[in-house]
Amino acid sequence: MAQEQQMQAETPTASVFAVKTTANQERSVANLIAMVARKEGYDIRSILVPEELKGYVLVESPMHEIVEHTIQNIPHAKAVVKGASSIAEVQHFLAPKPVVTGISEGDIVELISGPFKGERARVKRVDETKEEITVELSEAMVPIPVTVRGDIVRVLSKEETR
Amino acid sequence: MVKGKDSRARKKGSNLKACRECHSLVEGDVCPMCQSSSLSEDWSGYLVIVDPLKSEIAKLMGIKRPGKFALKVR
Repeated sequence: MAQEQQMQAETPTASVFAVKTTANQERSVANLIAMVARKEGYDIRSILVPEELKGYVLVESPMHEIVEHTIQNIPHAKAVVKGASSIAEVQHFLAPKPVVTGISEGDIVELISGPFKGERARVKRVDETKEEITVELSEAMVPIPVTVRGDIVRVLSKEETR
Repeated sequence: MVKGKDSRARKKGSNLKACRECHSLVEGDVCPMCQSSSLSEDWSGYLVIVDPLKSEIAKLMGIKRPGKFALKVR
């Protein structure tokens, strides 16, 4: 415990640096950065690849130069973005919001993939824990409830409050 | 709009599964860390912890060992 506290006192505070990568190569770049850091003993503490941030990986390290040096020979890693972010600024990536956030009962949505792609529907129920929604297709003769994943719909209009 | 479709396509090529208990990314059928067999192929967000003792992100996530982790497991 005392050793851990001493180590914390000696450890310089880390910032988060963004590294520009080729699109869809974020995970391979993250793996290679970790490999190089371990092999060469660079002070890189973690690498974060949020789903929302395409073409970038976030590297936790105390200095810009360390990150720049690490990515020098890594394919698909293009450059380190100037400037640093604090941990607090990237904290929201660590706990992603459920995809059904912002969808509520009565909303008109469009299904954007799956067998009902392109169909409009009205939301009947929202299950936040399973991230699923139950909808009724607008153009169906008989309204049949269909349960779909929350990420395959786009909200067209919110429920009108009367 | 393309996001969901794209992330699924990318996951198709990956053979990693995420442990629902500890969020570790594993290759087999049992999580070697918590021995749980509750693994999911439906995960998103990728985190590599290199130095868990110094990393602030590891502290925030409650991770105490180096490795690969998923940010969100369904």
